Amino acid sequence: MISDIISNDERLYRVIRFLWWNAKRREVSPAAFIEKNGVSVDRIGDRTEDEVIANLKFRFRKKPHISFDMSLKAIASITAGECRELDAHVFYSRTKRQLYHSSIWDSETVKEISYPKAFSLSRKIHLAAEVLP
Amino acid sequence: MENYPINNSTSIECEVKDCGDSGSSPTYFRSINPDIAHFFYIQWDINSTILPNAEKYVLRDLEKNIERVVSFLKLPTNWNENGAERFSNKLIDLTIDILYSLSYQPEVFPTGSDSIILEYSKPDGEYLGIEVFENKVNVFRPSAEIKILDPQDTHELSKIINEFNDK
Repeated sequence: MISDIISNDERLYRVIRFLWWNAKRREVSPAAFIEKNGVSVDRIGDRTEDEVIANLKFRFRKKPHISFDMSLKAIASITAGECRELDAHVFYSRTKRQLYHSSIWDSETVKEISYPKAFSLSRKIHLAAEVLP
Repeated sequence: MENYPINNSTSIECEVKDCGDSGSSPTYFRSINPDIAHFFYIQWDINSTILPNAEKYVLRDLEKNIERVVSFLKLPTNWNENGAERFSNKLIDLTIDILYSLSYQPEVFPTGSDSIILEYSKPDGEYLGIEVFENKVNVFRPSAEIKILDPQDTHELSKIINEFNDK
């Protein structure tokens, strides 16, 4: 049974598409964390990291109708505590289809993460997996 | 993207976009006929104009960036699977206009919030980000307040970008 509360040391995983990948600098652009509805992540919950990575690679696998730029390039991870240190709001927001779905907002009331926070997040994340071309 | 050689029989109705100092750099034209292409450019008399290598490099980066920005038009509604809208022609055109005006070309990325980010990074970690919206431009540097500019004020924007890259 997964707790409704995401503890500070729990890891969160974000899908990074090719169009957010800075190939020159091998970095993730802050653009990957700027979305008007907040940022969707998967919490690790009761799984291992390998299980999370396998699940995300399967869900975001290349499909015929998905262009190269939109397909999966990497999976980034960060702890909930690291997000909270940046004053971002992290919470569990499971959906009918995604038991581990969680969200990162700019604050409790503002969904869209500001550019400064998105930049800090992009520099704090660690790459848990990378899809090679 | 088309690259048309110019000769006496070429006749295409265009609007002119200058790149760099007039007289020493190629002139770029953009078709105003939407049936031809979203845009194309013509390098005027490139074979008889000797350009320093640095300028040729900037031109290739500009071409690459324009192609990339134009490709954002193909991103469908909900391309990020989190409610993103399609990019508007207005935003794409504005971003291309900005790219034309720059001496240093950035890396370009789309957000899920109706904006396009132009980024400059240095090996020591220094960063400059320009977030382009339809009605404004936000200039971001870590440890500084966000500066909001009029998107038509390419002079001020170029100044900021040149200062960052010239250091």
